[in-house]
Amino acid sequence: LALPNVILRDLLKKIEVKDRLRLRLSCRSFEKLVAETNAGFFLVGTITPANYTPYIEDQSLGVISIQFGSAEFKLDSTEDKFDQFVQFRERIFTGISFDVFVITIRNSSIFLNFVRNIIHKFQIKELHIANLETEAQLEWMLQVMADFPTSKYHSTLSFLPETAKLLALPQMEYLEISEFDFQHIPAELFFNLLHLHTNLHLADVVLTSDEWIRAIQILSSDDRLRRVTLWVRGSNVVANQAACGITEATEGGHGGGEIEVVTPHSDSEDMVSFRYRKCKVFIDHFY
Amino acid sequence: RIYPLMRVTLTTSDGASVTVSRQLTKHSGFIEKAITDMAVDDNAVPLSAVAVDVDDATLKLVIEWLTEHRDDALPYPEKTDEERRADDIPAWDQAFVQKWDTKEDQQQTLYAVITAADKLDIKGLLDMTCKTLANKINGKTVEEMREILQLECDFTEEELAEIRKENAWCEN
Repeated sequence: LALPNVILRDLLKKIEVKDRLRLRLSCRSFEKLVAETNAGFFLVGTITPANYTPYIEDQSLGVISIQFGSAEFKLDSTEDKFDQFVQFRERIFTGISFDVFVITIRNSSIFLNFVRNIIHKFQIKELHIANLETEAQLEWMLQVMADFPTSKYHSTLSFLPETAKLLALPQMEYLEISEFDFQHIPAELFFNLLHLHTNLHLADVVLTSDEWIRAIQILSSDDRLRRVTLWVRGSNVVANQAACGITEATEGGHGGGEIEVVTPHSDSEDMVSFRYRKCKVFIDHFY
Repeated sequence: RIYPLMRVTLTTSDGASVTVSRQLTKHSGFIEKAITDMAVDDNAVPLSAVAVDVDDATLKLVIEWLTEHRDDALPYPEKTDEERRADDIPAWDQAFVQKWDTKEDQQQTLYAVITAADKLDIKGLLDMTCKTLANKINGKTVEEMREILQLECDFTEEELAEIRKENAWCEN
């Protein structure tokens, strides 16, 4: 080769994965070099069922889409194809780094094993695992997190796990629990989650007015930038607003105690926002 | 301590001599080590020759780049993962490299400067020229890549077919 190996290794960290694939075809030396080098850093990678639509049940596993930067790979969800792809992956780089890596999981043990095999040599700053539906998948997620102990974690659960398992999760940068039926998240569990995780998105949380104010006080006293989204029942919202001194007659700039109403029914008819010390609260979609 | 007025004479592989300020050579790990090994007194003006395995024409380009980058911070910052990107070459450096496009042997010049930056241990120049080469490869066909990297295909047709079949996992 015309350039020293150390330079070519550096070069191979600066090119796209698609270019690595083409370089494999250039000559034997480069095919070997591609297999023996790190692919470098990419902003985003994903493993997701192709044509996946959130919240639609009974989607067959079908075709899997894998993205490394701008390169997209598609493969049928069979054990043979998964094995072949793992071997192929080992021929296109030794390792790769991502700012964010998103895994949308499906209810298939073959798929879950495949994902762990594919990503085990990756470096990932933020690991997003979406669409967890069962306790078994939660166990799997914990194993993956153990594989990436220094990453930040984002997770979306479509079921409410057993409380002990839920509270045993490592600290999450973002935890979403939504789309489950006939259950609500009790106040005690909510406050535990609020204490454990930075950003939350929770469905059907039941809070008394005092607990509502306590939650706002906890968030206000936290120096970190945090976002907590709660889906609560309408009657609960009205009572909690009243506890904060906000009624239909409240005008902008006024409120109860340290609460300052910023937007009473302005941009949209069902939106109110108010400020309590460092915490800003938006309430929308209530009737 | 670097004394900007100190000057160093560099002797090239084709016998030419160039005297440059120590303010420039401080960016070359190789030259700095050579000077240190001479155990020159702080107040002396070292005119001792440092032999560099680079030809005269390439060294002139290296010195032109060093002159522009004489005030760059040292040590050269360790590259983080994010710095794999090759689209952040400063404007002056881009113009510097584009000047070579007028030369018949533009590819040879780039290779010579990359190799010189590697031998002289000038990290900023090496990084910039590697990015330039990466940009040249980006999105090219296999044949164009072979030409840029000066490669000869040594695969059989059957081997190429097998690799193409594997690469077909990537649909776009």
